[in-house]
Amino acid sequence: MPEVFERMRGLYTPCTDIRRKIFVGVTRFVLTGKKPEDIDYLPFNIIDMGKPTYRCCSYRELSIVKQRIRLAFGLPLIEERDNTPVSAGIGEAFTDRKVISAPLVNVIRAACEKCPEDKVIVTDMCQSCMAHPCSIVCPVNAISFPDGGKAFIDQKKCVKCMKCVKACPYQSITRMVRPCAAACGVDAIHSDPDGYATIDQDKCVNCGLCTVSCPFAAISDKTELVQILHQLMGPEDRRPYAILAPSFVGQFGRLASPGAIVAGLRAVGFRGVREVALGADCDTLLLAKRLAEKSSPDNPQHKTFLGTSCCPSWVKTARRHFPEFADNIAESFTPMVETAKIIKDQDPSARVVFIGPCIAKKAEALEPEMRPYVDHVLTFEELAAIFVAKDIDLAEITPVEFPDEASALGRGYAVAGGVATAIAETARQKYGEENIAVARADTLRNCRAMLADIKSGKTSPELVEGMACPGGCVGGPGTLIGILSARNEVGKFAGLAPKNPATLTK
Amino acid sequence: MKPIKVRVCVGTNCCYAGSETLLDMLENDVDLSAFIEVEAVPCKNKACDGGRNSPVVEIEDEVLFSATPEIVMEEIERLATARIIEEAQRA
Repeated sequence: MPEVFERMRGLYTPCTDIRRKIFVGVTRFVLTGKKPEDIDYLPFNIIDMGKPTYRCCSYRELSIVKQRIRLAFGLPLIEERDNTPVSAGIGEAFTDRKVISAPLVNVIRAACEKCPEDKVIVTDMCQSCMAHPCSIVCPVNAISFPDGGKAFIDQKKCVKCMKCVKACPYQSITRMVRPCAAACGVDAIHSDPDGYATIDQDKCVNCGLCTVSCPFAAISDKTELVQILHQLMGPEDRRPYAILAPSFVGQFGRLASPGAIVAGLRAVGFRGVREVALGADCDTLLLAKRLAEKSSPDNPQHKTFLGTSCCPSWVKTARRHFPEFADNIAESFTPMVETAKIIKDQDPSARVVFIGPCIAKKAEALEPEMRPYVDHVLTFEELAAIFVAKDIDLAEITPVEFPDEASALGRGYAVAGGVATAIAETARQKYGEENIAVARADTLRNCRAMLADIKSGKTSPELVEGMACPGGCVGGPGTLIGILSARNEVGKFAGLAPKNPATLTK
Repeated sequence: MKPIKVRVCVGTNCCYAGSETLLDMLENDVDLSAFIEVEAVPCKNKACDGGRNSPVVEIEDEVLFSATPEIVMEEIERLATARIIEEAQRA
């Protein structure tokens, strides 16, 4: 059974639909030169008040859409239940400066259906059978058969041990966990006193998997679309550079080649495009060197592992939940920052927009030490809204030459296992390090289990790779295509590049 | 049975409205593969009207707008049934 955050991936659901309609609506609004005072008209370009499509009634739909628009503008959430108009202060978003701030991931209570947190229930399939193994295996006597009918579980007694679920011959007993909380690998989502989902921002690492797992689209992150659009519409010398995360291949459809995507970025106004796989190569070289140094028995860190540093959600989770391993995670800039640095070294006044599958990168770019390098972050899904709003068809555009700068190993960073492979392979070729013991995990729950195994001494790897999203970055919440197709596309594109960063001159 | 031609637009507008995921479903369904011939095609005559009609799917000569998997599967089933009956009668 796939995990909750994988079940709806690669499907176009009404949750996907409303999210993208908001992005396109907001982008058209800005591109057509609308002013803050026009904001009250925007929701009616996105939903039809006569025909409720997503919700029970149009008025609830309208309220939710207004709040989603606010987040898409990059502003803090305001809910109508706060007795404040949702459009208050919307004018602050009409700028080319950075406006987003934490918290990035927000629950829109008007959209939240207050799902039960965690419940084992008997379904209609119960045949009230003679054997009734459910009540026999229950260790707390929580199961009874009122009026000799179907089984009933006393929720006050149930300890969710799952014994009855496994014992039922009809598979009639099931466990229902709130999808947002089940998707959260750091247990940051609970219920508030009214039953709405609420995010503990001290625990949240901004992986964003809850935003694509809620079946009511009640959790949303902020975007920098509006401010980036202002830059793209501004004077030519102040327009930003785009840096493309390694998972970009295939995201915009099978007819949109990498060269076509670059052409599209140029057409919407980006000054130049670099691939983040280039920064990944810088990281590979650094970590391979660290790994080689560590292998010397004289090194004080000889016996400890080296952890990868490219996924900010993984790094935060590892440091927070296993403080004893905090120093094992490499203190290096992420590929995003390394790539941005290359551009800013050449042109210090340049503005850099990272385009990727990732919500955690939005948080990383807010950290004071990263702010000088990466100015803004867009997801693939947000970028595609600009193409649609400008009617730029990447399947038809004349492709330009793709700036081939990175190695196959750097391009492989987008896929789970790719980072460790790049580092181990480079350490082997450059420093003769053979048979490096690698441990890796994707999704934060699995990452935590992996670190627990290391802590207990069950495993003792030399190199540890962690990724927050299922399958690696190709499973990120800001992606447009299914995880499997994305992985294949990344593999094909990597095959076109020179093999190893060790052979690159940078 | 002569396979039914299904052409799915993968222009940027249609991709954004879910045509790539629709294609994934059509291409990877083993039961369907005997009945259909799937093709990914570029935008034709701007039928999507800036995305308002996306995704656009052509099944034989018929053009479907805002084509959800439900709509596409229903049309394939209708055509396949008609074709099977027609071919049986001719035989």
